[in-house]
Amino acid sequence: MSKSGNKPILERIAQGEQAAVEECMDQFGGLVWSLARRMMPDSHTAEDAVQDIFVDVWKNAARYDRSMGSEATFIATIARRRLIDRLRRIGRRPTGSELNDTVHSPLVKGEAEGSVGLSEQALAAREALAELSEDQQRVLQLALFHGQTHEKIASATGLPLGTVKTHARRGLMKVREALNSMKSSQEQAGVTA
Amino acid sequence: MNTGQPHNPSDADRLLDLLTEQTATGLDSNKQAELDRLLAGQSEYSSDSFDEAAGALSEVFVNAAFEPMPENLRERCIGSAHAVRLTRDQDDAPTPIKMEAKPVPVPATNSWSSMGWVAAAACLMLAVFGWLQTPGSTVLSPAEPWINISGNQAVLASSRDEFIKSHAEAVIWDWAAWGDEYADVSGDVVWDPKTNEGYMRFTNLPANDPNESHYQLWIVDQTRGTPLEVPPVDGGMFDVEETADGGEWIVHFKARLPVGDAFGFGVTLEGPEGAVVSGQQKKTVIAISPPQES
Repeated sequence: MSKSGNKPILERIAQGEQAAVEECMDQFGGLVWSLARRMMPDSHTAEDAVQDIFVDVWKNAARYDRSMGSEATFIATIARRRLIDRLRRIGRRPTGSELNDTVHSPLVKGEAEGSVGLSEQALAAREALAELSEDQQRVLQLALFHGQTHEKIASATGLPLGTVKTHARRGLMKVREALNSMKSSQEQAGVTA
Repeated sequence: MNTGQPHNPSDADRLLDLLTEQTATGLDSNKQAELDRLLAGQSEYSSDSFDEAAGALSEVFVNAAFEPMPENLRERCIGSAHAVRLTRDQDDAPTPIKMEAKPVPVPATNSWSSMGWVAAAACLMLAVFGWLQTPGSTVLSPAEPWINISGNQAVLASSRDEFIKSHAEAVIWDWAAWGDEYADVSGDVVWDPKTNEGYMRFTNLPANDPNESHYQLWIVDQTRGTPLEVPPVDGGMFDVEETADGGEWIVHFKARLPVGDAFGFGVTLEGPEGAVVSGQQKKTVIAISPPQES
């Protein structure tokens, strides 16, 4: 949301408000950049991808509907689609040491310096994630944050391919259910209020 | 009949596997076709059923490994918003950019700038290239030889449009080709005398090999004296890359030496070191123009 009111930033961008563009970069630039840095094979490709993503965000700002979820999730979804398209197009995925660190180190629980806080949906997703086993969490992290294929995850973690697929599927379903449940509660609260 | 559920358990599992894979890494065309077929047979899931969950999880993962965006990338992204907005504005309601041309300056000490266009151009060419080809002459060069304001061409195009709209004193001058070899070159230069800044736009200006040559901008500043009396100001070097046929090449520049009253601009193709040493240019490319008539 906007610093200066309840109107969503994306809605203000769609109306041509220049200040909202800069606010959007302050609020979500790091989110998109961090995603691109992890999913793209190098920083140059990540920079190109981020520019494409924000062109998409500017073009689709008017499509944002606050009743469907947070702006952060809307932008993260656009970013993920663009990054996946680009990964498939260039045919390369990250192979650096960060991947090994993720496979072999404990899952990060805290918040990094400079992060801007989580949307309501992300908070619900985090709660659902915490209920999964460490293997399930790691598979989701490698798949969604590092852009790794199921085969690569199986190879990196030593888990059977079928197990990796099941972990990814059940993890996503669990988070989806949590988000649907959150929305239902909010709708009910709205009706009874 | 669509029952709302996949036809059998194996279809249901397969549908969820494909949706998961699509969300995480995307699908090849065969799997995408298979997913589309399975989705068509039920109504519980759609192709974006896991997108929101993946987006929310991405936020969670980023939050623990956040990296601030580099400032120059941030600026480029903000610039792309201008481009999108301008494109949308033009689509919605075409509004031609209106320019007010500056009157031709007439220095008190001479009358050469009131000549006809061809005579003025010839005079200017002589001023620019005559000085450069005079052995031992010294041109006015900044400490930093490069124009060095580069960027994505699409962003530069929108920045140029924005510059024209927001700089009330800016004037557009057309380039005139000089010599048969560059007869197809066209374009313009936008110059704001107040900020000593502008944009050059070229069509059909050949790409240069930076190992062998660079283009160089020259500015004739008549407050320094008549062009025949003082050499032009070195506006800096720049490179031109390959573009699609007929593609434009835009260069943003800011004069590093103050220009009081620009009468004309010239561009030359120089050797790899530029033209700090006079008489080294390989070819004369194009030059100047008088201000457009309003």
